[in-house]
Amino acid sequence: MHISEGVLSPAALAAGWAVAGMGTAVGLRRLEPERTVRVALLSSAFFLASLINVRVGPGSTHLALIAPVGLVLGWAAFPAILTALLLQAMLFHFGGLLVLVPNTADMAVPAVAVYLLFSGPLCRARTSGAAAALSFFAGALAVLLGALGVGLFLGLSDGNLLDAAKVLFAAHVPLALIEGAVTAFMVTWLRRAAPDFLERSSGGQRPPETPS
Amino acid sequence: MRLEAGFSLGGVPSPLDVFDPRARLLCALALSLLLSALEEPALLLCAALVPLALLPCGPVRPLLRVLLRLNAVSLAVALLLGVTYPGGALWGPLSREGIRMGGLIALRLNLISIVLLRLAVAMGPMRMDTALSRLGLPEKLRVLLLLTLRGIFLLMERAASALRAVRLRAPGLRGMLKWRAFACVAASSLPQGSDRSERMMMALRCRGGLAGFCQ
Repeated sequence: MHISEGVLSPAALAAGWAVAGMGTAVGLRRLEPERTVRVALLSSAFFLASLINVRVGPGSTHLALIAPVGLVLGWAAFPAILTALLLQAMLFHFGGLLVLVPNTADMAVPAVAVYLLFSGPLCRARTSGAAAALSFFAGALAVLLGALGVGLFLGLSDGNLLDAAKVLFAAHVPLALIEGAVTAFMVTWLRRAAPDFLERSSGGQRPPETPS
Repeated sequence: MRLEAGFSLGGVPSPLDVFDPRARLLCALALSLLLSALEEPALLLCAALVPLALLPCGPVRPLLRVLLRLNAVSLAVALLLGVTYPGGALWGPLSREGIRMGGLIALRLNLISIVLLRLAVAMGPMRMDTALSRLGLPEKLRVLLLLTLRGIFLLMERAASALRAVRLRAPGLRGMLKWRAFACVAASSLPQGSDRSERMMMALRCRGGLAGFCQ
């Protein structure tokens, strides 16, 4: 889902900088200093997990884990994804520095959207099946929103790129299904092994208590 | 899961090290922005003099390896644009305008990558962090960057060990079982990372904070 260098026009780059800049400012304001270490380690965990290449048929792909980042970090997803993408560009020459901030906007906006839509219902879910279904939709939606974001940036750069954006969106559908399944497995595991982890991690704002 | 060969936290030595890292970073961003705004191939070729002048300012073979990987991506982009970009037919389903746009993007990708790799990425994460903090990067973001970099090295070995265990215990994993195994490894690293972060936080406080942070 990374947009590479040389594709976006200055107008699209400026839009990306504006969106990610505002989101990062909100994320940093809500981030207490005591939680910074935790966010950093969780950001590194996601950074490493997203580097795992898994074979899919004749090719391979790597997970984006946008929904788990959003569900666990909340608004702190903006600065966490920004630092993770910066380090990917510095350490692995993956992505780029000029498009770093638009790529951040492209991944962090879906992460926060998933957090706002699904963190409350997930904490209130009474059964593992309901939680798995919600997290599957969260994972799939996050990837599709990211693909939509790529399309918006491409359309902002050049209207003639919209057809290419539609092809890219369609290509992300299988990845969305895989991400949905992985998110469902992750949330199910966390509910079983660390049941209070998602509640504690929700960006400093505790979701409503699960009714007993 | 390995870092780039020749990776160094302090960056790669280069003749450009005489310049202020802030100036290098700002020049890199300004040049890249200028290159991204150019639409005419003739103008891009004129502007290419600067990236070409930067080519010998560091190890050439690692740079060429990175450019080779990026050009594989730009080839796919050019083909996609050839098929989807509107314009007169060139050959089969490929349009002339689409291939032209794909070539333009490939040229910009290469030039911008050379500029950023030589001027900014070659500084390494530590000097980049210093440059960003002196340019006014918020303290929280700077500390987050340093701690995330530290966390990557801490967790990399643990992650590799967990994946090795999965592959040894179930070498023939396929389909949904494979995804479930990876999801469980990823999920297990989250509470462990969180617990470790609390211990790191206590250690930071005992040591008097991190350059004044978390005191």
